Amino acid sequence: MITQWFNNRKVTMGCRQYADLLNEYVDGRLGSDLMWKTKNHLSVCTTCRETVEALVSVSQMLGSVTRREVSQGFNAALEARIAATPRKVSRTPWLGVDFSSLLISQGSRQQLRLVAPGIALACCLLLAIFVSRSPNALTPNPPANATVTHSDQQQTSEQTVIQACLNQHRAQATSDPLSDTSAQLLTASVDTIPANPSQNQHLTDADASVLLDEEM
Amino acid sequence: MICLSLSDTSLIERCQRNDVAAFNEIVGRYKNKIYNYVYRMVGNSEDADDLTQEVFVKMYLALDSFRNQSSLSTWLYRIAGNLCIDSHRKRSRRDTGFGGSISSLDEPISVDINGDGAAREVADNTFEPMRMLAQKEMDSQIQYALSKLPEKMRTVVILHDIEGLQYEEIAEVVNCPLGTVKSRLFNARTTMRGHLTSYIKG
Repeated sequence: MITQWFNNRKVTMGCRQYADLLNEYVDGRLGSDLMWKTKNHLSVCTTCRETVEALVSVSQMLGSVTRREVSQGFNAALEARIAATPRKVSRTPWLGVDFSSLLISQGSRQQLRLVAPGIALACCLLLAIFVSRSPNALTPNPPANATVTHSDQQQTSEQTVIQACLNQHRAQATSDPLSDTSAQLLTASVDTIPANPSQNQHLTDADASVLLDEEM
Repeated sequence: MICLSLSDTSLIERCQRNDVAAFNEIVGRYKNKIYNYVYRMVGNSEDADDLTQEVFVKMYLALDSFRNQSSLSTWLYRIAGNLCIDSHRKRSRRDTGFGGSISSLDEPISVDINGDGAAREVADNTFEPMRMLAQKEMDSQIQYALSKLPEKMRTVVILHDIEGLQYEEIAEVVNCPLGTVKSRLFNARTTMRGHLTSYIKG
């Protein structure tokens, strides 16, 4: 881009080498060695000297322009605009004091962002250890109407035994079942339970007699 | 009052804790610098005033995102530059839409000088009408020459020759390599030289 300016002028190869340096020469940014070399070149090259003069004159003119200032009502107008602009404040002050900002400075916040993934990982590991040590930790409590599970199982086993006894008793009953009072009692208690023939088949006569003796 | 001695970094930290005094101090420190830059970019005081307010509103809204990776002034100049470019684009679109031309950048600065600007310029206690008139004319001509530059060149030359920023700071503001800043500055100066021939001796 800089050499484009030189393309319209009679320049030597030496000028192109100095093209990038002239601006910095004008702004006093060159080191002593380059400054000396550039000065030497300018003493013999009219084109580069004119270029430098142009750069200097424009730079000086721009530096001398009148500086402008804001209007008198600037602060009031700005205040009104800011009042009308809701800002998303991430830390809401509580009772007029922003405790989080008191505890965590800007620098600390940046550090916290760096260690946050590590903290999250540690929390996950602790949770995993807790769960593995207590398998029921995450088991939800049963609802109030489901607390009869244990008693239901106990009742079922008792009724199974009674059913077995009843079946055995029926098998050995006399022709007049109404005279058998034990059978009446048993029938009344388990009439609602469906018979389980598969279990009854495993009961031997001896077993049944023992059970009947206990009932008596 | 306490804020006067604080650094920009400390002021920003205070602002992030909703310290109104710190915010006002930042506005006080930078409003004229930003206004001057914006004024030279857009060429009229009304837009410059409005855009400068917008710069500080943007800063206020983005306070939490400021990370101190760049200086506060660099950040504000960057916001201002972006707003100027957006404003120019909107105005160009609007003017083109109505079949008009881009007027404000090419408008002679005398419009502003005859307005509020004239009153503010009389800061010099010595009464030298001829010198003041010459200064106004030169200001107008410089503003005209600036308005003829492409935005990228204009930004660089204003930031360096008027605002006094270093090459490295400008590279940060406009987010481009240092070499690009140098070439833009060179081209801006040589282009302006053509528009200011009558004012340059020799």
